[in-house]
Amino acid sequence: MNRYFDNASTSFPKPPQVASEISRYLTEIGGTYGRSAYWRVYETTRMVEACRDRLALLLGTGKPENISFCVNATAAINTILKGIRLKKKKIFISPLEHNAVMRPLTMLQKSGQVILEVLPAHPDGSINLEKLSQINLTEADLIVINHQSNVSGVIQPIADITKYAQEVPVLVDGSQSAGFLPIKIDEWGIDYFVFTGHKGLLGPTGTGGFFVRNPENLQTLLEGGTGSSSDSFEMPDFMPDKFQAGTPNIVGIIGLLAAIDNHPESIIAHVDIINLKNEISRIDGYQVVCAHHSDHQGTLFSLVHQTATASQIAGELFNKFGIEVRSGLHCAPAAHRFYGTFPEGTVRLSFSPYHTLNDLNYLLSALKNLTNHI
Amino acid sequence: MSTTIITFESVRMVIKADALLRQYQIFCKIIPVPGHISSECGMCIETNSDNHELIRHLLSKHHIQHNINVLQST
Ligand SMILES: Cc1ncc(COP(=O)(O)O)c(C=O)c1O
Repeated sequence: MNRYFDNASTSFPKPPQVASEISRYLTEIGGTYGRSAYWRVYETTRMVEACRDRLALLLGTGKPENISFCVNATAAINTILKGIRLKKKKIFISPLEHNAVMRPLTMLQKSGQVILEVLPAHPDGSINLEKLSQINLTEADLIVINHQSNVSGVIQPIADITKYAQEVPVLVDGSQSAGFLPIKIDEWGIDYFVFTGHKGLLGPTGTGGFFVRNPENLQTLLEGGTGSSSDSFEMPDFMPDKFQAGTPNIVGIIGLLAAIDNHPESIIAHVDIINLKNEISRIDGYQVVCAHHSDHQGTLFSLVHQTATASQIAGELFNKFGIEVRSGLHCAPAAHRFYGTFPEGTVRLSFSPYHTLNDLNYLLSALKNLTNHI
Repeated sequence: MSTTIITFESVRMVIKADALLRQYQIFCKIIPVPGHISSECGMCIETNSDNHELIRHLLSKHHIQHNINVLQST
């Protein structure tokens, strides 16, 4: 039985090939990325580039070279937010942004570099497109949208938002969507797309990155050796080297490649998550924080209890049933303020392609049992 | 005798070029960039093929920026 329901924090289990490929690299291959020409380096470099290619395919872009690796989504978001030129000094954000976005933006706001404005949203947090159409978005440098909320699982209508945005670049935080949901960077006209490797993509921690459509519009955050243009003190301006200062996390990227190549088909279907959510909302005492339309519901949702706190529920679920879930604010106080669940937070249930119907039923019966005894 | 050295801006381009040229049975060897060639990255391709037209055509078609250098050996 799989009682781990915290896949939005980091996914578990991983495809077994993640560990075996990492081990093969560490014990048999070795070698750095691109700095020399012998076999170990070639093989390592080939795998890193294969990972970039697979990511491009998965995320729907024909420009794999415009994908840069970072240590996580947070580093990728910081690179973008601190690397774009803020001419109009205004950034629009969704009301459900994670602190990976809110903290760097607050830094920029405090130093007077930018004003933040929250986009209009429906009560479930999804962007209100009708109201959006009445806003003059062109007065902003950037629009930032969390693709799938890490609190409610609400999926934002990215293709519609980029249409309204027109020339204004859109940064999509895909930390909770990459690997979990279909993504079409080119078709949807996304300018910046951020991913992390250790959640839906089922890779190891320490991996992530971003796609940038127009690299010339983005300054570097880190400068250093790339193994290319080594006669110069300046960073190369071509991709992918421009944002790849220093030796990349080769171990992690090889693990991520194995994860993408061996990503399992989900055992449970979307409707099973919807059914579970509906069942929980019918149990006395629980209230579910989720999308109002099942089409907008992703691979996680939250709950609160009338009398018990989120941390009590999480503690009891683990102590009595061995069920692992995350409680609290999930690094997203903006979202909790929006939903009225601040500062207590919620209990978050987040799923994996490895979960079975049995696992979901076990979780449901544990929640039923708890509400009678808490 | 001459050998052809193809150099590239980035190692990603080396990997792409190597895979592509091999598909067309063009013999490729990955070598460190010879010191007297000023190149942009640490590895390059050595080939004994003198069909530079085809190499140029294939690489350009796949948007792989490159430089072809011919080394004369005595
Ligand atoms: C929506 C969202 N953005 C960003 C992040 C940050 O991801 P990472 O911790 O991998 O940098 C997370 C993960 O918690 C997230 O849920």
